[in-house]
Formats: sequence, structure tokens, C-alpha cells
Amino acid sequence: MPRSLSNLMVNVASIGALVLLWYVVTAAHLVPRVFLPSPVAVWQSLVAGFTHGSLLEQTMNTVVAMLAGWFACSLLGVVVGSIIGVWPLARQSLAPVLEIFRPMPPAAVIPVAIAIFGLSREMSLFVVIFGAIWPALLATVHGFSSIEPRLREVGRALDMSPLAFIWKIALPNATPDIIAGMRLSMVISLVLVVITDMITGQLGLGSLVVLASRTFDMAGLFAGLCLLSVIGFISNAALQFVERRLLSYQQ
Amino acid sequence: MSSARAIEFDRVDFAYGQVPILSNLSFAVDAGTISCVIGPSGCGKTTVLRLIAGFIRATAGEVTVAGKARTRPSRDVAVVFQDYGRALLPWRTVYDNVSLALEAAHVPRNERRPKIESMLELVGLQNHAKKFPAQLSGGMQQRLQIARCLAQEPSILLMDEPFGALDAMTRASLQDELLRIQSQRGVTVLFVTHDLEEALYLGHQVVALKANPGHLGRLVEVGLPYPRDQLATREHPEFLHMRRELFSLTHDGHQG
Amino acid sequence: MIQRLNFNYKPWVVIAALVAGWQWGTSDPHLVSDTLAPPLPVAEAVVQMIANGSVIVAGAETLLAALLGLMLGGGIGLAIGLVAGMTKGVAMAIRGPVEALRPLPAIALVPLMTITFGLGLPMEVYVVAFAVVWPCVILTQHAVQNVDRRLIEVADVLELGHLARIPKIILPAIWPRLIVMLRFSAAIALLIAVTVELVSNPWGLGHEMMVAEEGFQPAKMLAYLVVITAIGWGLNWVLVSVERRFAGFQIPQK
Repeated sequence: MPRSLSNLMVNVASIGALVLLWYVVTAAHLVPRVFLPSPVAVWQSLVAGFTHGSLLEQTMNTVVAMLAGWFACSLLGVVVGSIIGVWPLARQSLAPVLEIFRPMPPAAVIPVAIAIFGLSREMSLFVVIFGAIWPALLATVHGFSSIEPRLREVGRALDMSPLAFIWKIALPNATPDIIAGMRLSMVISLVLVVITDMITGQLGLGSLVVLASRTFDMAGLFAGLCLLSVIGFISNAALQFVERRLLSYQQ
Repeated sequence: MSSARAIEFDRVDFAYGQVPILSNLSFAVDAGTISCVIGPSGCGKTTVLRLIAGFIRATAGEVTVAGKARTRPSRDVAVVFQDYGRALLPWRTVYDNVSLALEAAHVPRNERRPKIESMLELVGLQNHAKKFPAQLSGGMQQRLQIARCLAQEPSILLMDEPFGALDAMTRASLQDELLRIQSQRGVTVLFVTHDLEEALYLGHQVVALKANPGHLGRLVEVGLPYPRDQLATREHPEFLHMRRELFSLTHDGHQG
Repeated sequence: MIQRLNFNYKPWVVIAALVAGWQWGTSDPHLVSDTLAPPLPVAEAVVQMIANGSVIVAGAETLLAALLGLMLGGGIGLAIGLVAGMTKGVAMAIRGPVEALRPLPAIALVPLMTITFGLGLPMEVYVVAFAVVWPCVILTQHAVQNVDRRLIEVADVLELGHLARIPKIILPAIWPRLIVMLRFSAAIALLIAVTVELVSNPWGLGHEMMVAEEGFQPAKMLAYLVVITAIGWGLNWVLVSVERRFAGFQIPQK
């Protein structure tokens, strides 16, 4: 694939140029060091943090919390969403109610969750599930309820059982929507894990960033931001890869 | 008229709410023959097909299939839709699309392969088994839908303007393939079309409907010999005679 | 034609059940002393906050931050997106950096922005702008790249320069998509503004809500949650109406 390879090289080169620009700005003292550390210092902070600091543990905590919350909210969202999507009574009674909850900013649940669970891991998980479930849930509902009427008739003409219809026609039909929803849920999961970390001070990249800012450890702060960006990038790229494999039939 | 009746309409009325679609329609289709339903748009051609399929039920009168009143869809009646692009499962390969019919009929896994392969061979798709519908031309997609419908081993094949969206060349070759497959397998075909020549070319019988609401205009036995030929049949004096006779009947519903 | 009145009462049954469950779950004073409140005191708190104007002040602060951030981020995003959509080289050059910076949760920038700008309105505006800028870049760029080839050829034949073809050809052609983008990024802006306030900024609805939580005033806290959700809902309604109204004279896209 020479095309994707050249794309990759362009991307690497442009990101490299950005880092170089960053280096030049800091080396020439265009911006005070207090605000913008040099990329070299950030790199050193990353290396030191991973070799004899707790950076690995903090990163793992954030990643695990994100994946756990994402997995739970995807599972719940897809199951509940498919029930609402295939069962007209559930759709008529629940879909408008979901529309009421949807515009609620996920982070606004945090004070309520703290009031119920205290500053605990359960609180984090609750916030992530509650906040990140919407894209997966609503996309699943949409995927199931927007099924092509022709395919319904194909199922009827073949005299398929309701369960066979869901498994063989409705679910694969909803898959593109479900995956798109799950990708968005992943992004929101990461954001919410970072926010709950910042508020509760639990060991993770969110609290690392806050702590670094309090001690004016700018290199450490930027190291945390870089890691968050990498986590976000990799998780999204992985899901995109899965999406492309699963939806390869759409040429 | 010696053979058994596959489909029978007995004074059938059908209405959507207050809007009458079909009125007092009676006709019969003999088993193992091809009947073509034609008529101007809005005459209820597709409604006739959907009644036989069991998707809808008559408001009055009775639709019988193989002597039994039709109340719900069943696998011995297959439907080939015009919009093949929407009736195929885009996430399944050609092979697996045919397999769907066998899965629905609970055919054991190890018996599916030979059946699927023979179906694909019948419609000439044996070399495209691993492709997805999106990779096929329109004509090939419609062949695939026909293969899936035949795989459910129906006694009746309903076709709703199946070749209407295809170009003239593809259409002609699919017409001939349909005639070949029908004579090989002896399936009863009810073919809905708005193309009078297509109806005369394919059918043993032509059911010409008139509109507002849909009712029987003429029931014509087509005496043309089989196998039919795209050139010879269409130049046959009988063909031209019937074409002239039915032309006014099928076109008087059109304004301008 | 017989009109049938089919009012869908079912969601109201669900809502009634939810409120009843809320009331039932919070009616035991031993279970929930100062963490949660029953629906009636929450409703009272909402009315009271509107009556004494405190929620209006806080709401105005939040909306101001969201609006300024949306204008800043949206403006920068639109400009970059236009240039990248019209010039292939720019599109290639920004792709890498955009993909690298976009996944960074904007909220994680709050500590950095606080060091640089201090707490207050500007910090919140910059965080909102950072969150809004990436979707705007990407959506604008895609919209421009999808403008019908014919229109571009018309611009070529008329020998319109780059600057002249933006107002005459590009912007009208991508107008409907820009309206959709506005709705999308306005929702993000409000969300991020509230979140910044919840996390640290002493300003707006999010901060008031956090204060109520820390002061063990559950009715007030839940009242703010209701208000924030209502604002999100109202904003969405306004923007959907705007979309319906102004996307009307769109140029048919291929």
C-alpha cells in the first residue's frame, strides 16, 4: 500500500515539523519557560516517569478505567438500545424520555454521583457509564429502528422467527450505527475518566496533570497531555480499524 | 386447463382505509405456468402480488394458494422485489445471501453447500460466490435475488417488476433465463410488469388490469409456442396482434 | 378524511413512574439525609432560583463563556477548514497535527490554561475554543471538498481568485453544512463550559452546582442539574429551528 505509506510519512513529517517549531520557540525563549517547556524536557520527564516514577501505573489506571467504563456502557447501551429498537412499545414509551436526558452534560452528573457514592472508583465508573452510554444507546436504537422495510418483508417472506430476524438481519443492519456510536462513547469515556480523576485525585493522568500544575512542573504536565493524546489517538485508531474490517462489504 | 390451480382470486376487494385499490377481482393461475399482470400505474398490480405473498389480507373475497386461504407469508411462496439493492443483505456475500433462505428453512449446515452451489450455477453466479452485493452489477444482483428465492424451494415465484430497473440488453437475457429456469423447475410464476411486450413474451396468460379502482380488464391466453425467442416470438403475427389489441386497454389509464 | 387523535401518552407514564420512583427512593429520611432530595423541594428550589435571579446570572455567565469560546474556536476552525479544503498541500500538512491534537480531552487543558491565564472567563473561553476548533476544521474541510465539481469549474471559467470564490461560490455551497456544524459545536461549547466550571472555574452554573454539592444542599444541586439540562435542551431546540429555517435555500448537492 504505497498510498497509505506516503500518507503516513506526510503525517509523521508534519507532526515532526510541529515539534521542531515547538523546540525552536522554546530554545529562542519566545515564550517563557514557565508556560511552555521545551520538548526535550517533556521527553526527559516522560522517560524518567516511566523508568522510576509512577507514570506507567497512572497511565494504566486511566486506560483501564476508560476501557472498563466504555465496555460497560457499550454493552448496556447495545442491549437496551436493541430492546428499544425492536420492540415498538418500548420505543414509544422510552425514546422520548431518552431525548430528555440526552442534552444533559455528562460532567453535570458528577456532583450527584459524588453525593451518592463519595469520592470513589464506583463514582468514576457510574459517571463514565451514565455519561458515555448515550451515543452507543441512541445509535443502536437508530440502527435497529431504521431497518430497510424491504428487509422486513424478506424476513416475513422467509417466515423467519423473530429471534432469527434480529440475529441475522436487524443486528448486522444496525452494526455500522452501533460501531459509530461506540467510537463516540470511547471518546467521552476518556474525557470523563480524566475529569473524575481531576476531581477525586485518584491515581491517573487527570490527577497527574492537576498535580503537575500545582507544583509548576510544566514538563510533567505536558508529558501527561501527550500521553492523553496518544491514548485517545490509539483507541480511536483501533476502533476505526475494527470498523473498516467489519464494514468492508460497503464498497 | 387440466392442471391444478396454484393461485385463485375470488371476487377480491382491497382497500387502504377508505381508498379502494382493488374491486371484485377474479382470476386463476394454473400450476407450473407463467402469468403476467399488467396495467397502467395505480391499477393495483403490486397489491395483487402482496396479497398472494400474504403481506396484506383481502378486505373482501378470498385469495387462495394451492387451495388454501392465504392469511400470512410462508416459504412456499417466494418474492423477487424490483429494488434488488434493498432486498439483499449488503453484509453477506453472494454465497451467504443464498444461504439465508436455507437457514430460514432450518436446512442443516452440512446440506447447504451443494444446494447453494447449484443455485448459483443455475443463475450463472458460481464465479462470484465470495463477492458482496455492492461489487455486483444490477443484473447480477437481481440474479442473486432470484437464486435466493429459488433456494427456498417455493411452489410459487412472485416477481414485482423484477427487470424494470435494468438496461434493455440485461433485461432480455434475464427474460430468457427466467423462461429456462421456469421450464426446468416447473415453478409457478406470477410476474408483475408495466411492459406489455415483456408480459406477452413471458406469459402463458396475461392478466390485464384497469385502474380506479383496480379491476379485471381482460384475461388473455397467450398461444405463442415455447421455447420463445427474442426475435422470432416478437415478430410472430399472433404476438403483434395481441400487442395491438391490449395496447389501448393498458394505456387508457394514462393521461397525456 | 377522518383525523384520528393519537396522542402518545406512553412516555408520560414512564416519566410519572420515574418521578414516583424518585419520590419513593428519597422519602426515607434515614437513607438519604443530605445527599439526595425528593422531587418537590427540587422543583421549589428551581422556582426560587429563578425568582431571586441567581440562576439567571449564573446561566448568563455560562452561556457567555460558551458563546465566546464558540465564536473564537469556530472562527479559527472555519478559516483553517476553508484554506485546507481549497488547497491540497495545506490539507496534507495539517492532517497529522490535527489528528495528534484532536484526541486530547479539552478539559485536561484546564490546569495548563489556569497557570497561563489564571481562573476566570478567558481561561474558560480558551478551553471551549480548543474543544470546538477541531470538529469545525474537519467539518468545514469536508464540506468544501464535497462542493460540486461543476461549481468549482464555473469558478475556474470565470477566473475567480481564491478570495473571490469563498464568498461567491464556496460559502453559499457549504451553507447547509455550516448550519449543522453550528448546532454540533454549540452543543460541545455548552458542555465544555459547564464542565470547566464543575472542575475548577468559580463562574457559572457548573460552579454553583458544585458549591451546592459541597454545601450539602441536595435540592439546590439537583435544581441546577435540571436547569443545566433544560438549557441544553432549549439550545438544541433553538438550533434545530435555525437549521430548519436557514438550511432551506440550499443548493442541491450531488
